[in-house]
Amino acid sequence: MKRKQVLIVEDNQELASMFATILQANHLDTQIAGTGQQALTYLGESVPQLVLLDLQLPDTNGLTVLKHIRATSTFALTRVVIVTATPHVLIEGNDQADLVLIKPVTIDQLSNLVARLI
Amino acid sequence: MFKLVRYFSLSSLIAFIIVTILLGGLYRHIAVDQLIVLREENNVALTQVFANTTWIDFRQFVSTASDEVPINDLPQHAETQRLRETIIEQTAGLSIVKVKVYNLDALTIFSTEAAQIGDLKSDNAGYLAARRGEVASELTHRDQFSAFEQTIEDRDVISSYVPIRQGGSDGAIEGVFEVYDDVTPLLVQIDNTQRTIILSVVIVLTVLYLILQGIVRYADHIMKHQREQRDQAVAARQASEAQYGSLINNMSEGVVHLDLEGCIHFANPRFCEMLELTPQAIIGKSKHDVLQLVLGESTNTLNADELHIKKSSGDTLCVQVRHAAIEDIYGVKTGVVEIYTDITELKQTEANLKVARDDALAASRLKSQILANVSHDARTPLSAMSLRLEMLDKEHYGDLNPKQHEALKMIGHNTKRLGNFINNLLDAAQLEAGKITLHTSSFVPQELLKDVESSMQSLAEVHGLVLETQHTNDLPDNLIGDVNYIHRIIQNLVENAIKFTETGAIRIQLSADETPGYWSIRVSDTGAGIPRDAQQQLFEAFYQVDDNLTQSQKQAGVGLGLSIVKQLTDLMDGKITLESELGVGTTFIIRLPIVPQLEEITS
Repeated sequence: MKRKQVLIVEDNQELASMFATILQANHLDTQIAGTGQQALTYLGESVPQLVLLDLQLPDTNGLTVLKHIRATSTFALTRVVIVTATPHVLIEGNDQADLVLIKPVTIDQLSNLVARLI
Repeated sequence: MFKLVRYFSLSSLIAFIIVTILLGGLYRHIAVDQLIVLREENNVALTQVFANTTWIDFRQFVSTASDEVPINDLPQHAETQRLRETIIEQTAGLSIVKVKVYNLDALTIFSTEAAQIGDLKSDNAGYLAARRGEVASELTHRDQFSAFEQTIEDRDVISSYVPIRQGGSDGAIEGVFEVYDDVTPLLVQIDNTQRTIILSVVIVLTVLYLILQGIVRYADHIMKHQREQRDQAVAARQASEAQYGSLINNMSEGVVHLDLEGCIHFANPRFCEMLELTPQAIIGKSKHDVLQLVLGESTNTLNADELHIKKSSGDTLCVQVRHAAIEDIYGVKTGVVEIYTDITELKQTEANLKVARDDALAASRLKSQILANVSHDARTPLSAMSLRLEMLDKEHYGDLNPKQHEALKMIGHNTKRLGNFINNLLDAAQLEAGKITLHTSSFVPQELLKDVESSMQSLAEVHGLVLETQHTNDLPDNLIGDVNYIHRIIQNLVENAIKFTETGAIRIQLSADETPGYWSIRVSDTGAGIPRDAQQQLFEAFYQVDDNLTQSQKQAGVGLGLSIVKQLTDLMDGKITLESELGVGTTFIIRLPIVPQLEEITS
């Protein structure tokens, strides 16, 4: 059985690689995008089951990526979890995300996420 | 009494008297004239009868007596006696009281009063008229009068001189006949009638007078009432005018009354002061001309609602103009009242406020941006640190001995404290700025409890405390709320409990609340308890209970935790209470609505 895909959109490379390590330990395939543009490029080719989305990206706001996902029918089954350090700037987009996690997150939070959402 | 009535009374009284006298006199005059004419005709007829029947026997005697008989003998003369008898016979039954006969020489040949025989009447106007062929009569009053047989008193008689003609009215005059007709009863009758007429006139006029008097008095009453009303209205209007005049003259606004042509009829002192013009330079002038003087060349703004008047000092006065139409009682517009309010200071204040608001907004934006950056720049590396620690601890990178585990636990504990401190600081700043937004979603309470437990377990263990979690069966399977901030509330309460508990356990319990529609979070400790007088201030920012604290505990926080809990609970329409017993422990109870208002709630 094919492993489920997770797209990690996070500009902090260390954090992104740790997310990847933890998720891989939960039997998931991961792909890291460090910018909004990279995320959109990946989304043009693949349909992940889960997207971990940082909001403060170097080139754009993570909400742009979220809006793209929600506006595209291909991603109807894709779950989106916002992982942010700035929850107070998250005004719109809240209801479009399946969950909002505030940094710092724990290994258990990430593991539970997988169990709950996919 | 009003003058009109007095004049009316006086003039009508005089008029009554004059009219009554005139009417009475007129009647009597006419009646007497008619009486004289009537009696004269009778006397002429009587004379005519005498001339036709008796005169033939006596004409000779009358014409010759003066020559043939001495005058003194005439009364006793046989012809005289016969004539007397004849006349008495002819006038029997009539009102004739005396008869005289004169010859053509004016000598009294016969008189029923014998003493008058022989009297000469040549100067008598009545006799002379009769001699000319005319009949002359007059009415006289006699106090005493000698009638045929006796003397009568107080009589009115008409005496007629009638020429005696033989053979009808064309015959020559042969003598003069004087007849005295007693008309006393007739005059009495005339006088009675005159009195009746006067009385009637008096009654009619009196009635008329009384009616008119009544009408005049009523009119006078109405006029008096109207005059009083008018006087009162005038007095009230004068008082009102004085009052409003004073009001308008002392107003801080300029007030101008314009006619329909735009000519200024009135301007209060404030208006003159605003324009720095005298009333003489304003009243009677066109508003446009007056404003042009003070507005300079910007005549196209004359009808604007806001004018900028240049003062002699060089300052500009900003004036707001309001208009209101003046209408007469029929609703026809007769003019305009304009009110000029000096809004210079208001405008300045507005400008200052706008600058201040712009500054504040800019500062607020800057603050938000700084907060976002601090938040991101602090949490992201912290997140990497804590994850890396956790992975180390879970031996992702190889086996660790117990001492290494212990050291990692302490690092993790301090990293968590640092993270929570940053979270609280940012939350407090957000709450203070009113920028916390709740993101409500459905969550499973057991999972929340598990998350809290996993994140707080190590902290409790480090402090040698047991962390117990519990949820009751009456709790709904799913709840709605901002799970992150609810997590934050529980975390802060647990941290607070750990901080102030030396030994024992911290218990977290989720259950349905006794208040319908609410669920509750209970965080209990076995700490020192909180004195009653400190409980009120507990939720104020930076407050800490001084008593029962060790130095290390005092340094353990800045006192933001409970303040944030309280503010977040309020934001979620929840209630926070506490039960505490000194030496036994404290329980914080948070009650939250099971179904919160679904729209986003911004503090």
